[in-house]
Amino acid sequence: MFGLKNYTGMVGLAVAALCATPAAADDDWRATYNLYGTAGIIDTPSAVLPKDGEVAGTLGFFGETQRGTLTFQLHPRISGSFRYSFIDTYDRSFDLRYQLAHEGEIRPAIAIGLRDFIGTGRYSSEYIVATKTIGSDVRVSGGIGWGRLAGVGGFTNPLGVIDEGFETRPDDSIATGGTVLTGQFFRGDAALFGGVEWRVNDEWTLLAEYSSDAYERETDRTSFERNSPLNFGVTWEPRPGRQWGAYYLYGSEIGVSGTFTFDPTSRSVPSGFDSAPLPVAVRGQSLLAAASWDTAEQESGGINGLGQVLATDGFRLLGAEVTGSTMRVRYENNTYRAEAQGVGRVARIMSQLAPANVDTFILEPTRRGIALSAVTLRRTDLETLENTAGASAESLARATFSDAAGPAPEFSYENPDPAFLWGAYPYLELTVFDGDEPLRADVGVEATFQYELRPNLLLAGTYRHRLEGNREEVGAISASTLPDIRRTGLRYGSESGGGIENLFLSWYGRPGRDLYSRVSLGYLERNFGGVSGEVLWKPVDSRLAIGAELNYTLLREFDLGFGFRPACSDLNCTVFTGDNYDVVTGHLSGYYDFENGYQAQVDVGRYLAGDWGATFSLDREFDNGWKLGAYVTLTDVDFEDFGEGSFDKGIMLEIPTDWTVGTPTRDTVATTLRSLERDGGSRVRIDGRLYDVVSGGHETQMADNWGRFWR
Amino acid sequence: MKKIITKLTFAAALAGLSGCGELAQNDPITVFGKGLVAFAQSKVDSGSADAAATSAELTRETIEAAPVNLLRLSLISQGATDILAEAGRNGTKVTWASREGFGFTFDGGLLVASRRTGADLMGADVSGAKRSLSGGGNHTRTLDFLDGSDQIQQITVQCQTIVTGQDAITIFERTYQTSILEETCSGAGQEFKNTYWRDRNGIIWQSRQWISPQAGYLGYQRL
Repeated sequence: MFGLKNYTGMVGLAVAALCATPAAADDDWRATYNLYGTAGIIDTPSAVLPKDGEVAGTLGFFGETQRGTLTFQLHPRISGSFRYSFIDTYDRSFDLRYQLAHEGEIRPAIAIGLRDFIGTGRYSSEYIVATKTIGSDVRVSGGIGWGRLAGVGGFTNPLGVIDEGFETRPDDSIATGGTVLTGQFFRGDAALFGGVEWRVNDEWTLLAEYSSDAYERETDRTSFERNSPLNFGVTWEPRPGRQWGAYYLYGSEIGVSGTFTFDPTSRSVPSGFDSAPLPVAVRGQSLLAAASWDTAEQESGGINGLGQVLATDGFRLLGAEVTGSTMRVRYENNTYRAEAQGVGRVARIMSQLAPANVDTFILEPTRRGIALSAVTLRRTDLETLENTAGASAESLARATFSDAAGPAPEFSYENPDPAFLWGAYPYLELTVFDGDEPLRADVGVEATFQYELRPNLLLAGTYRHRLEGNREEVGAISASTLPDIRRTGLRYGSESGGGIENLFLSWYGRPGRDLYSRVSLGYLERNFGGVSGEVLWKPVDSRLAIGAELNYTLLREFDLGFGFRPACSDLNCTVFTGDNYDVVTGHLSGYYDFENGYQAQVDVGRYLAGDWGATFSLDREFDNGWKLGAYVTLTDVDFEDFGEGSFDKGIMLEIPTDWTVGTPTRDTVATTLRSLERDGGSRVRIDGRLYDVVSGGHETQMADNWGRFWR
Repeated sequence: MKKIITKLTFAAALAGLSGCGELAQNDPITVFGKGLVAFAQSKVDSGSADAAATSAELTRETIEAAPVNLLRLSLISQGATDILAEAGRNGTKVTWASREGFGFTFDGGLLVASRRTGADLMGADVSGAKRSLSGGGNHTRTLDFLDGSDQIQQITVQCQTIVTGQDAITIFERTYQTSILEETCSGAGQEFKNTYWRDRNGIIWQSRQWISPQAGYLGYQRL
């Protein structure tokens, strides 16, 4: 459900909306987003192609219908949408659209789309649509639709020529939704729809369309009246990326919509407001550097100086040594999103402080106390390339990357910062649609701490205390035969008004070359506590990584105290008897970072309900840190037993905070929009899984961000 | 300005919600609060009122007494002026830095890099432009910019430098006899004109130079 995480995601979007200069200012006439939040006219689709990577959030209202949609242009030709709507009841739907052809001199743009193709199918329809621009300010679209889009003016399916089976549309959606409704695709009657967009000027566009949607469900179950197939509307785009629409729909209703679009590839402050780095000091010119680090005194003095200067620039020195003419430094970048930028800045600081006889720098960035890679740079290259044209590509070509599994540098730096850190801040927890109340919310204080026993051994915890709210009563818990892994999630902290969100010890290590390890122990997340171990194999220059994870966890008590509990033993979760619920889960994971910015992940193993299966994820990661992705988990739990949604699936969006605010930070805001969270296909939520910790410090990702090396 | 106010109000609203303690920095609400405040602050800081105060205190005496070379630099589109200090030398290139974290590097007086302007010039080849300064000439410039996807966008522009006149300029009580040179460049969808006031020894005492499409022009005087 929509917890704080989702809320912060929305805050992120809202802030992004305020700060970002959205989208390309090219002269192209951009897509109009319709009431379904996809490229279209008013209620029907068009074949206009949004810019690659574009993210659009749309809210649309008319009659009793409410639709909130996020649409992602996942690929130059493919877009995906996630929609949360109120029809006569709340409903989630997913759309997919593929661009068959781009617009040419004579040829129109052509797209094929599936609307609500997994789920309960309340909006289920398919279409093929063509759009042609006439002159510079008129676009005409026309298409053929099936399913809901064949509600009015339907005729026998022309695909019946291929197979008579196309002529009837079976109702094969199962009650719980969630399955791909392939049996229905392009079946049953077909009908034509179409419309016109007329761009009056840069800000205003007039719209008219003929919609073949009969709105049967709405007419039957709500006060909606459908008197006409004709819709009229106007959109106002006061600035690029903001579209407001007003409509007269189906001869009876007034509708409004608002769409914000974002272009992850552009940024209002492209290079950021990061302060200027220290310049490269050419050997012999720095006043700070000692001539050599021959004596222990010179060496410790040099390391202290280095640690202090690094700290002023947002880095933490872990250790350093000079061996012959090579200086090796191990540090943590706490400030800059791109590890490549960290490498560039640390190298320049080294040029200020390294003794004159040093000609080679080895930089070892760390996360969670473990070294991720060793980047070797020649001091001469820094001196000759600084501020020249092509410096970025040239310095990448001359850098070498290798594994950093070896011992820490000889001299460690005594970090003067305290090992104990804490924080307290407000939280808002929203619970949406628990069956009785459409919205419940708690506001309170969250306190968190971390105590670093060693750089790679951390004790951390978070506690919540509710100040105000109405989350103490929990509505209906949906029935299921599975142990209540997640479906009773609303009860956590609802009566107690808060408690221990998490409290755990995590230990990271480098067991060998190309190997990384993690052990976490304690109250790992809200619903589970126990122990988790993970190993990851990932050579520093490899696009492939393989990991294995094994966990033993117990279900936590609803009061978020220290106790554990049994799973409920009846369908509606009123009876909790028997032994505490414990489960061994684990996964084998494969990760691949494709050169074109896509990342695939497959996890195969056992999930928390004791079910076996696999999760498939595909993310698109932009070099500036934006990530869009989708995942699906299929396990041996029957769709019927799983309950609403049939299986777990969702869309993920992650926005780097520095993109939004302009100043450097490693924080990101992430949100996952998923079908209703149920008990099947669920994994333990663990802070700091290895791939996320490690991959940013490896060659492929550093090379992607190397443009920031000299920033 | 209206934009800044909206951001400030919003930031202040968020700042009211912000937490305390080092780790509160990781709280998204606090981060956005701080980030926006910093953002707005940077705009306000660079406002001319502040900078004018800095310049007002400056005299020939304080300039001479300063332990490092100084440069008075304005970001023209923002109406902001500040005094920068020499922070490093690499061959013929000199890097200047301000307390607010701005950095500018000039090669023989010609801008080759900016930092913290929001849309920085990451590096440049101005060898042709340097040659054309003695009496004028045609040349190309290669400029590296950083785009919103962390990628370097390199452009090459065609330029012509001509001498347009002579001028005596006075900077804090000292007068310099200079030639005025105008360098006009175009290419890759960009067009800009740099102006230099250069003395007989080749020192550029005053100039107006283009940084990047979004950051616009800077002006400087050597002190």
